[in-house]
Amino acid sequence: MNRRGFMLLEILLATTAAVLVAIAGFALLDRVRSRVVQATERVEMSDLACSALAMMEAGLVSPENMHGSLHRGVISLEDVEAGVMVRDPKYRLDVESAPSAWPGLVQVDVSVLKPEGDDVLYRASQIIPSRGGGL
Amino acid sequence: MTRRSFTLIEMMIGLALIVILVMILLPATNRIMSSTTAASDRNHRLAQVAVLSDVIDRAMLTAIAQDADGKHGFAGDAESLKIMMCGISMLPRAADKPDDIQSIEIAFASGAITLRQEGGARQRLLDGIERCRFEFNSGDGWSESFDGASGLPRAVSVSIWLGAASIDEDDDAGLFSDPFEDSFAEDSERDPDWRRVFAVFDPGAGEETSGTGAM
Repeated sequence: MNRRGFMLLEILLATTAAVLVAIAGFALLDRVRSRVVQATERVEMSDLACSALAMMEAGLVSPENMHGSLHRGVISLEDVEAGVMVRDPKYRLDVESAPSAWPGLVQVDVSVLKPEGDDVLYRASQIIPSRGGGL
Repeated sequence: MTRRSFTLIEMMIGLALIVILVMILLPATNRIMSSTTAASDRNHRLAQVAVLSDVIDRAMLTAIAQDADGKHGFAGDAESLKIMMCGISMLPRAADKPDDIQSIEIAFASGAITLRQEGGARQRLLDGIERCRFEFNSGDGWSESFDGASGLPRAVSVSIWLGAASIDEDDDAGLFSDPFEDSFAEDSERDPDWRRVFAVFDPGAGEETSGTGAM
């Protein structure tokens, strides 16, 4: 019987195959993780947009002041009203308001974007009372 | 029979490769696994928080400043909120309250957020909560208490810190985290895991709102 051990080349090939399998598994795991994170971020963005609309509806901040405001995972309360910049922002809000068909009410659209991005990740709109002061 | 087994150098190279690969992949895999678990747990908890959000959202639409006896309809502090409502509500009416006024009390205690309807038992809405804070705004800044004497607040903010599971989410920096960044984070209050601002609908103000649409 002619029997020999593995050659170094064979070991390297087997190692390479193992690495490829590991990378594929790794990529799959990372994809699952990113999907879960995306779902979490969508909830964050929804709450952020709805909170921004609620603050404008309550007359605590005007659409002009809310426009361009930066936030971390949750809406900043005092920071928006005082116009203070937050540290390490995660989202930026673009707010547009326009007159509605009903007197005394304005249509407000809130778009959620990344601080440096232009892609709208989430958008919510509502008709809110006009409170003067630029509305 | 000619038989050749591994030489010492081949064995050492093979072992070294395996050790290097394990060292590279294991921490990364652990990081991704723990990050995925934390994010998944957070999603599950946020879905539970949505129930609380829905209850408060609907209560804000039908909140009243006071009842026929002059009793304040809206009061709260940093850890509890009592709302008297009139008209349509998602909650069933109490049998001993034939009129359309009922109240709910939402409170945080012992790591749980509870809901109690008028005349009913306190039920647990959310467990495993590290902290919860209610804030009220009547147009002159946010406050952690509201007695209802001035009517309805303009808005209420609810902040929730979910607890240990959500804190671990940021631990994936592992050995390479910046020690200065960590010390800075300890100095300031950690952001809540969930915060929502609710506008309080006040029919007395003569203002109406329409529905909300989301993309």
